[in-house]
Amino acid sequence: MLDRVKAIIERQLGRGNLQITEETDMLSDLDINSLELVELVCLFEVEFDIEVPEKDIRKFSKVGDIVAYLEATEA
Amino acid sequence: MRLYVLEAPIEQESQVLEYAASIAPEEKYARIERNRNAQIRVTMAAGEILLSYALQDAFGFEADSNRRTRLPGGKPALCTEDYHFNISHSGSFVFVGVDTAPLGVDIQYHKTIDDGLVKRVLDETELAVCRETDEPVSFFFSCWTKKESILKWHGIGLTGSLKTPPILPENVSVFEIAAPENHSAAACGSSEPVLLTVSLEQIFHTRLQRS
Repeated sequence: MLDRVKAIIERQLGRGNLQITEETDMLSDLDINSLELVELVCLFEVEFDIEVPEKDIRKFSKVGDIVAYLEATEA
Repeated sequence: MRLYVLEAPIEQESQVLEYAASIAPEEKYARIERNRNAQIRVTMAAGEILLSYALQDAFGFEADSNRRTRLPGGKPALCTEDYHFNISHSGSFVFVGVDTAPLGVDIQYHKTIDDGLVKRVLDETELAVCRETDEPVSFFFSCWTKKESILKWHGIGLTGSLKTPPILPENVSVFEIAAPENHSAAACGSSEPVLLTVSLEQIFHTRLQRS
């Protein structure tokens, strides 16, 4: 799951070879802005065929939070 | 509310980074340096430079690292309740606001948008307008920047709702700001905005005069 999430992030940001781990902070480590984060959420929704309620976006602080969230929705 | 907009072209990376290194908080500069995207490095560094210029221009002091902190929600702030700032950058543009009261600013260049993003951000009324207008991208980013500036005023970022941002106090308004071509910008605060467009040449010249 981490590899899938990493690939989506790299594709969306147009930057390859990002050093992404589960501890990577979305805003401070990847320097993504709010728009990019919302776009990423939209991509996750399409990729995983899910709907992410607005209240759940605030949980996406680290990449690990996203991985855990997506794994939970797939379970 | 004084607003400053600056274009930081990638070609001036070395000058901009050198200046930013002398004024940015250590942690912030380290973050700038490790970013692999040159344009992002330049605009982040330019944000520090523009903030320094804005505080000097508006209030007569510089925000050295000792005067910087973060509020509980993560919003960058000065170590005083007397002065406030907010920074935004998009593409090669940096947008800084300073005031004696809390404020939020946002600038965003117009990129391709899709239906999923539009539906996530716009409420029903805005969605209807977006579908009817001849300039849906412009309209979307006008809404986006206004809503972002409100969330940044509150200091809550995306923990707040974009579709229905929290209500503002009566004395606080959102202002659509004249932005560079293919950009939208907005500011949220309790005083009328005054917008100044600044150049790197102007800032470097001012720096030379003061040293």
